[in-house]
Amino acid sequence: MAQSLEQQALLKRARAGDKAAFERLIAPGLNRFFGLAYQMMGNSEDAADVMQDAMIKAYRSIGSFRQEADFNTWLGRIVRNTALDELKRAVRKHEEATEILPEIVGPGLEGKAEQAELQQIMGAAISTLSDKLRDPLIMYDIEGYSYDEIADLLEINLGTVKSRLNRARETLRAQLKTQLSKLSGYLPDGFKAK
Amino acid sequence: MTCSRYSEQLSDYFAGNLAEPARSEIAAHLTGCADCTAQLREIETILALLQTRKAPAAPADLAARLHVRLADEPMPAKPSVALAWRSMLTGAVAASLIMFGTWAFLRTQAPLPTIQTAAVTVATPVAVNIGFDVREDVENVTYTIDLPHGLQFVDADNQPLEAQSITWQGSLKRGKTVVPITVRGIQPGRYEILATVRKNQFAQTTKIVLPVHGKQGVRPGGSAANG
Repeated sequence: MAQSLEQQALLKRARAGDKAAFERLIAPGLNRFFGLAYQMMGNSEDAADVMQDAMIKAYRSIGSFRQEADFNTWLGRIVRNTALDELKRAVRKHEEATEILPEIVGPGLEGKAEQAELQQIMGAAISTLSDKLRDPLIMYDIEGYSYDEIADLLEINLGTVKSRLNRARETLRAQLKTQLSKLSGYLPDGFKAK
Repeated sequence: MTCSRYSEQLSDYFAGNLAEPARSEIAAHLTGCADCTAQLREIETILALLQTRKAPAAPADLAARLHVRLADEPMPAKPSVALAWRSMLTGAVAASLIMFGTWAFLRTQAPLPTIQTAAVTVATPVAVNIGFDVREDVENVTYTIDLPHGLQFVDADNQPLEAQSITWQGSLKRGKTVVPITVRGIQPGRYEILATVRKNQFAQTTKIVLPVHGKQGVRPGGSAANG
């Protein structure tokens, strides 16, 4: 996908070392890809570190970005690869007691204890998915990426995106089957999936 | 269509992604199938629960923190530089760098930038191709590559060489002359390789900054280490 005229102009300036141009170029993607980094790293601080590292990598290698590619897709891949590298590098404890629970953003959820239990159950279930099933799930069902964006970022075709999404959801459904009625009780009335 | 075939499409049906006639077929099936209806409700719950896990907004100071880090970055490598992040050679990461000489009697350009390479892992050989771009042939030049302590030259068999500096006579051809060297980091750090070309009283030195990560992910320190 070709860049817009404004992006092309910013790209040219960024390649020449104009850092302000580079910052403008990446600005639209910062919040969006922060979400992806957050889902992969599990907390805001690590996600922020990944984002900074990824943007620095992008700046250093901007000379190798091919104009015919989509800049945001390229950036997203760098964020994802940086997060994957960080996950491989760090020593992770798998005990549930050490997991940092994500902040709850669902509307109207009541009761801290129920919220904590909800997120722990969901987090545990999601963490059992393989990378290839988990990534499309967190990107589509949690962070709201489109099928096309996921296909481009993960370099898979649309059919594969959909099939992995379905498999991920089915895996979660099977894992959570006995708890779904209880979990749905944590949702306020009228709270519906998109 | 059997229930198992419908169940594969329930997610897409719920999300409104199915075209006709598939959508109507499933809707009709659901009116008479308690199992598929129950499965659809479960999918609905799963998707609703997933939405409660949406990431918060990025920290308000993320852009500012990035701005501070960018301030320390040298200019990015020019478009003719190819920097491979993933190893394409057995046991090595290839890094190609082109540098431009600034001798008064040859091509005149802006002062040389310090060239920053991608980080490599300790003990992993990295091929660094140092390029010189000149306007005309130059005979009898002296090349010198100086490595700081913490880096070492390796030969074709990946065996380390004792010398920290190598010098040889050669020539520069009009256009690009590429000089390949292979080095590896023996401990994590941020190293400056100095590449010098001399002709009589003229000399030009360029720095190539090579960050080396430890195998456990120890990041290099902020200051350059030079031997």
